[in-house]
Amino acid sequence: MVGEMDLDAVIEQFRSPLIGALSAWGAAPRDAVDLAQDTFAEGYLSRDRFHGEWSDSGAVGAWLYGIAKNLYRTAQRKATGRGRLVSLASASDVAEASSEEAIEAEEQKAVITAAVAQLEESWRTVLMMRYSDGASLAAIGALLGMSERAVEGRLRRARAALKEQLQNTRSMEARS
Amino acid sequence: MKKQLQLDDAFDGETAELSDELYEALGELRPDPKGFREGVQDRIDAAEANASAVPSAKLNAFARRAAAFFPPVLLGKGAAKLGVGAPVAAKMGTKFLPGLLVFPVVSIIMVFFTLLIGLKTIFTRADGQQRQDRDEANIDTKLWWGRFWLPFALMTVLSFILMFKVPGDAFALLITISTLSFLGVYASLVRAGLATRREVGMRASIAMIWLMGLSLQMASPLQRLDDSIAYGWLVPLFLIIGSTCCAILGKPEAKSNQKGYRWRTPLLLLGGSILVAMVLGLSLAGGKKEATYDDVRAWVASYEAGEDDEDRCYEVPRVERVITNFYAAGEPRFDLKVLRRAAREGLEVAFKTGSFNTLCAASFARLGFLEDADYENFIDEDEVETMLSSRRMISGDHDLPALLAHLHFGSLSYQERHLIADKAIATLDPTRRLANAKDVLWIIHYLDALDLSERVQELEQPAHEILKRLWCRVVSGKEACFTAYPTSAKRDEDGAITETSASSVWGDATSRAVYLMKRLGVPEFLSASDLAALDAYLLGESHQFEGSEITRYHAEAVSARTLLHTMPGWESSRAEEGAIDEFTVKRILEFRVVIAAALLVIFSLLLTLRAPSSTSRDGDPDLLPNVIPWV
Repeated sequence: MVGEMDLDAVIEQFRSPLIGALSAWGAAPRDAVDLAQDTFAEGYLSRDRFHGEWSDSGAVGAWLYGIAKNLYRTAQRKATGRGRLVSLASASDVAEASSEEAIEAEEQKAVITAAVAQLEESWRTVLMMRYSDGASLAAIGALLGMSERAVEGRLRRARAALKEQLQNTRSMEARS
Repeated sequence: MKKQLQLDDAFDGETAELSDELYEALGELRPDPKGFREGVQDRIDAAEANASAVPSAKLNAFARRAAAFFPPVLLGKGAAKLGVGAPVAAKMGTKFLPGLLVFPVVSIIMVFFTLLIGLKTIFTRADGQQRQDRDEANIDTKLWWGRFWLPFALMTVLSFILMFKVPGDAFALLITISTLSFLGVYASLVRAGLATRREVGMRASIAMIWLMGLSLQMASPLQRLDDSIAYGWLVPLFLIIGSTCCAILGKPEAKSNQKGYRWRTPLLLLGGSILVAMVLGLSLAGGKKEATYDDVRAWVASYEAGEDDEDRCYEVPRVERVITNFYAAGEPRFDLKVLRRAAREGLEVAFKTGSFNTLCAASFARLGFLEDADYENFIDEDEVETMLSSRRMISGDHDLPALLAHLHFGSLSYQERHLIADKAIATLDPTRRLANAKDVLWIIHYLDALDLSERVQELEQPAHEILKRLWCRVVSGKEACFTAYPTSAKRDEDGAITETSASSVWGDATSRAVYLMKRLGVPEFLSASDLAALDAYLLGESHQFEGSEITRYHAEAVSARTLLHTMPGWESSRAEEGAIDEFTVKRILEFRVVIAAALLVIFSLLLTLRAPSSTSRDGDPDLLPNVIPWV
């Protein structure tokens, strides 16, 4: 380990892509946020076991990604017995709205999240990391162990796939 | 106002409507940054506050890594909630060795635990907190099996290989090391204040109970070891005492006066005692004792060689081998009156019915059981002429009675005797696929009958080659013998035994081989330790079941062992063994399992005693940090 961990900076850099990734794997929004907080706390508490340089965002990202993945797996296995961890798509399904406009907005959200949920996991992950709160390509790349250019390429393909998915959904809705 | 997505590094075409739609749909994934940061800090503060009271940092790296293989149910709630056993991002390789060491014990305890949970679910009703605890345990157990089913399967396969294919105490050693490592993790938890006396005591008790079960197999009737009491019973005895003491020490004080707990200790002691008594009783009933030289002498003196007259003729050669071994060892003459009478009765009936097997005649002759009239039955001058002709001898076993009869009533010239001896010696081919000790033995009988015993030494080199092909040094240096045929044991390219068969008849073959060694000298390929191992094998073969009569198999083993002890090589082997004794290494090695069990018990008791009766986390679970909420 070289240098000191700047927790604020690490959280600022990786908060939104990590939450996006956790949600893409299947965690409900609230669980994804909780798990991301657990990830940062666990990372900080076990910072002595980090063998890279704190200035190397790629190493830090990969390390945090591993912690998050492990925590998610554990949570997922536990949830199998407890019925927790509702996915984003199903969480949106149960959302309630009052006004007509709000209902329409909720329906729109549901269509999009359902379309995202049907994407291949690698595309879903990169989309949710990016668009949950506008994470930088560099931060996403650091977590996924990819270059910015590779992230960009994957995002393009994911967007194209999502667009096609949405068009199919909307044309089916129009017909019905 | 609708929020808009802000992208500092947007690529071409990215800032389209789709991006905003996505941003809008994923709104629930955008927590308040300040609140999020505070949530992280709360978790860290809680963990550090708890760590200052119960410093998990004191846990050494081994315990921390090994604990990753423990299910929360084995770690105790406090340690588990601190995340000691949780999967961490460390590379699997760093956990490999600690995991490998503790995994056998952890997995076996988990087998018991899973069965227990299953039985409790089926047969007991639980409400409220009990139900919640049971559900938690169920989930933890499922999780553990989900993660470790493959290592468990591999370990099971490895255990069977170690038990049945690897020489020595490899399996026992693995389990002992694993148990010590398992308790070592608890020692670390105790030092860090993360385990209570109850948690340590109960787990140490469980570990020793199943180790006791394992050790009971060593208490089964022993065939090869002198120290049967030490090997057989001290180990389970130590473990049951240790297990009971740990269970008592780990008993929660607050509950000690409750109805269920009041009876637990006496019941545990009673159950343990009944178990040991039952196994002890079974072992005594089915146990073995060594047949001694005096036992064999008494047996020969009263032996009637079976109940059937025909049987008696076949039985005499077998007893003759026992007696021959003893005589070759320089033992005084046996009282053969009973055997002689029985043998003669059998012989006379067999002659009358024409069922006498001439292969048995030589044995009768060597024991002096034949009279002049009997020899007349074996006269066959054509056969003797054939022996004296230039025709090659194939096997002389069947023709020996004719030669004995000829020598009894007449004589052979010096040249004739040597001619027959030459032809007999020429039959010996050590490279023959099924070459064995009998091939040498009948030639020796011929030479003895021809009064040419001095020529026996001409057989030394081929006989030693045959013995080398028959020698089978099996496992652990405790078992070594001669096989009936070279094909009785499969060997690899280095000559090491890979597979054996029909080992039940190797006692006979070994007895013959020992006799050959007495007549022809100990082959060079047999070291002092080989002789010691051979002695151990014969000692095992000389053990008879309690309450049963001695048989010729035991008698043969005792006779071969007596003969072995008269060989020059045996003295040097004893000297070597004695040298080891001086350094007490051998004794320590012999008692290694007992010593390991005693150390384990002492270690477990100290560990349980040193553990605090409660930890700072007890009774105040809400103060625990929720760093890893699912563990």
